[in-house]
This record gives sequence, structure tokens and C-alpha cells, in this order.
Amino acid sequence: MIEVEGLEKSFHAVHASRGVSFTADDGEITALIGPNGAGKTTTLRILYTVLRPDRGSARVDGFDSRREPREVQRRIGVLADSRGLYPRLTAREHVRYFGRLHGLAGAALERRIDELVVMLDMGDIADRRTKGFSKGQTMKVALARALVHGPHNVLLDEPTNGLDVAAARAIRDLIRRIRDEGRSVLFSSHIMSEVEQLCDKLVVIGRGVVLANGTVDGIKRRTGEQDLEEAFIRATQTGDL
Amino acid sequence: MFESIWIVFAKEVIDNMRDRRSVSLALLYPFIGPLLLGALIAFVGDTIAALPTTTFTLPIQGAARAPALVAYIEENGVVVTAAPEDPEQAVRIGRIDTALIIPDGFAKSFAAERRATVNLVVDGSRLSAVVAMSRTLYALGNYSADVGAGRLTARGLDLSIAEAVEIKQTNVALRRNLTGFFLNMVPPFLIFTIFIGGVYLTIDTTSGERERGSLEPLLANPVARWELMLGKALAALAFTMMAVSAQLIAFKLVFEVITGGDLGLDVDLGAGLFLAMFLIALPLMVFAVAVQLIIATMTHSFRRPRPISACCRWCRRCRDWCWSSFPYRRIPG
Repeated sequence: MIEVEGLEKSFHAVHASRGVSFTADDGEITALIGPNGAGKTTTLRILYTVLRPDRGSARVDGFDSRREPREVQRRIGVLADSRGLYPRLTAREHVRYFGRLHGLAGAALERRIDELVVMLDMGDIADRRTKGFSKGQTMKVALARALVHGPHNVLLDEPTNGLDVAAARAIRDLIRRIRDEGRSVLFSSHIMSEVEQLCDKLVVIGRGVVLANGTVDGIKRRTGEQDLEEAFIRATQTGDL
Repeated sequence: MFESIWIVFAKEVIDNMRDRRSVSLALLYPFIGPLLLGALIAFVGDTIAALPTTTFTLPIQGAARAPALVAYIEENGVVVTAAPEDPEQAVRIGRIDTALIIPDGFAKSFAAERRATVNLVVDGSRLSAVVAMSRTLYALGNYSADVGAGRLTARGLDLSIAEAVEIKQTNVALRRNLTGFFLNMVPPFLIFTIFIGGVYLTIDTTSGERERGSLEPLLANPVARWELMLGKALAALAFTMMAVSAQLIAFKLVFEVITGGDLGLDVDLGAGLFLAMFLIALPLMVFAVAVQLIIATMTHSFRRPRPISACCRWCRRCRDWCWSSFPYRRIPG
């Protein structure tokens, strides 16, 4: 479970977050949407402990990201905004490296890697060095290393960005599967159709604050729009819901 | 805790062992210095090592004007030949190393027991010429002293009146200094290697990590940042140690194989010496890795370190200037 409360973060004169609050429950997919520069990535980065908030708190399963970062890190799997790979390591070595950093080792780790290779359909690339990987292949490796330790909370920053139709569908299926296992998924996206298909709960962020929070249907009702895209535009333009 | 550091260390070492640039800096470049030095030793050694025992040729112009002097020079193991028409030009263009000109008035002055002048033409920029000059000057000086002493004795005077200081030369310095000179070139090469050996790994694992976009996923793992940095620093240190070891082995091979002991090295070039050099260099290796890590961490990409590395270049130049201006002094004993 992810709880964000009154999160504030500034970069010099730029206020990226100005009091963001929401929760992402277990067994639910929560989408974080908003225009570019709204503060989605900043919120996620605070949650996955690479940024410290100026004020407010971000908690994962009750652990504060600022005070107990190790506990938070053990409980999250992160597909960060930057998902660079090491070009001279194979896909399998990437997953093994992150697995070992999470304390996995030996046969259990190798079994888990094999599971992920099957789950993400990485059989043909698992033992290839990642230099020259396509976006889809890179995404699979990044996801595999994020999920290697079986995290209870999964944070995904635009997980289908730049993927072809088949790869994006595979990622969506995976996200549903994680949710169905009772875990919490928080993901950011710009693709309204994807958000509509996937998420159980929606958090709309704009200008560093939460503009809307609820189910897709609830937000549509409140904006009086039938289409989520229209509802999103209305929410971000008026900022009043 | 230590396990995390080991995991990061092992990953960085494996990753960079697959990087041609890192490996060549650690294992290939260190050989360049010793090979160059080996070539230098072979060249200079050939020129110098055999000199005290072999003869060399001294072209003399006007040898007939001073037969006694020429005979004295010949007695000292010098083969005297006739100098070319224009000795200065011949030396200048490198046809001969050195030439002795005995001018017209020499015989007259010599016979009148006045100071007679000879002119030694030499190109001081050539090592073989400098050595020839040194030996010729030595022979001429001895001849001058002998003749002068004879003249004083003929007048019933004691030689010691005219000779305030008697210089006795025991010629062991040539070889020792040569050895010291070559061994003295080892530390600058080593220091260069220390600052170069792990540099690619350092950049690759810090600003390279940021540039690739692999830093944030890494930081999201349950590992303290100091553990990550220590793992990376140890990997950089391992590469630096590899480079220094490779260079020391190369130096040992060069000194042993190329010189073949011909230089009469008075230093025991056993493994102990090179191990000691490695241990002495260890603190500097740690320092170099630390400095490189700080610089690479502060910069954003492979391309951005340039201004800082330019500063480092200037620091190195200042250091080299200091060394060349205040050369080492051998400590007695």
C-alpha cells in the first residue's frame, strides 16, 4: 500500500509538487496522470527514494521513504523514468545483479530469473548483451529487474511509452497479473485509453497538486464528460472538480 | 553490508573487463612506458656501457703540429685520424662526432713554453659526442698537467705550488648514475599509470551510469549509497592495481631481459623491489581513485568532465615542471 500525504518538492524556483496526497491500495491499479511537468515523475521519484520531499510524507506499507528508505526499497519494484541498461551485461545478468542487491542468491535467484524470462517472453534475448536492444526489449529487461524480488508495490513510470502494440499489450497484461496477485500497482501514463482499460483508481495531477482522485467513472461523472480524455482536459484546464 | 559492496564490485569488474577501453588502459597502455624505456636503455646502453674499455676515433686537424700530444692521446686508447677539411661543418652535419683542431701557432707557443691553444669541436646535443668529448678533455687535461709539471720541475719548483687541488677520478660514477637515471624514470611512468589505470572504469561507473540512465534504478535498490560508491571505488582501485602490476612486471622484464645486466645495475631487481614499489604506490592509487570518483561524480556525462580534466592536466604539468626544476638527489649511504 502506498500513501502520499501533503508532498511538496521544489527545484529552486520551480514547485514540482505543492501538496500531493493520494493512496494506492493493495490489489488495485492506480494511475497517475497529468500534463507534462505536472509533478508525476517527481512524486514517483520521492516514492522510490531517489528524491527527498521538502514537506509531507510518502509511505510504502507504512514505512516512510525519507526515514526508512531501505525498508521502502525492499518493498518496491521500480520502472524508473530513466531505464538505462548496462550494454555489456546480458539481460539475465541485469536481473541477477538487481536480485543479488535485494538479497536473493543461488538456486532461488536463478529459478526466479527463469520465471521472469518466461513471464516476459525473454527467451531469445535473455543471454544476449543488451547493447543494441530495441525499446521493447529494453523495457522487458527493466521490468524483469524491477520485479525480480517479487515486490509488494510496483511503481511504473510510463511503462508502455514507445512500445509497439503487441509489447504494450503484454505489459498491460503483466500489470493486471500483478494486481490480481494482490499487489499494489502505481503507474503514470499519458495514454488515456490505456488508463481507462487498466486502472481501478485515477489520480489526476496538475501544477503540482491533485486535481481529481477517484474511479474513472466517478471522474467522468463529476466532469460531465463521457470520454476520459475530455474529462482529463477539463480537469487539468479548470483545476476545479 | 559487505555483501552489497562485493556485489557492486563484482558487477563493475565483470562489466568493465568486457570494455576494450578499460582493459587496454589497465593492461595494454602500462606496457608502453617500459617498452619505450627499454628501447632507450638499449640505445643509450650500447653507446655508453662499453665506452670506458673500448677505443674511439678522434679526427684531428693539424696533428703534425703537436706529435707529442697526439701520441699521448693515442696512448689513452684513442684512434687518431685526419680530420676533414672543415671540421666544424663536418661535426655540425653529423658526419663525425667530434674533432680536435691544433692551430698554426700551437707548436710555436708550445716550444716557447707559453700557453698553447687547441680547439675541440663538438655537438653537445649528441650523447656519443658528449662522452667522446669527456674522454678527450680528460686526456688533454692530463697531458696539460703532465707537461706543466715537467716544466715546473725543470725550473726546480714543486708541482704542488701550481696545483692547488689535485683531482683524482675513480670512474664508477658513469655506470651508477646511468642506472640511477633509468630507475629514476620509473616513478613518473608509474604515477602516470596510477592516474590513468582506472579512469575509464571510474567515469563509466559514475557519470556514465547517470548518462545511460541506469543510476535511478540502481539507487532504488536497498543498498546505501556509500556501499554503492565503495563497491565502485574498489573496482576502480582493482583496475588501477592491475595497471600498476602490469607496468611493474613490464619494467622488471625490461630491466632483466633488455639490459641483460650489462649496465652493471647495483640495485637488486628482484620481485621484492617491485613488490615494495607497488606497496609504496598503494596510497597514491587510493588517492587517485578517490579524486577521480569525486570529479566524475560531480560531472554529468562523459563529455562534461573536460574542464576539470583540463585542470588536472595543468596540475600534472606543474608537477612535472617541479620535478624537472628540482631533480632528485641521491641520499648518501
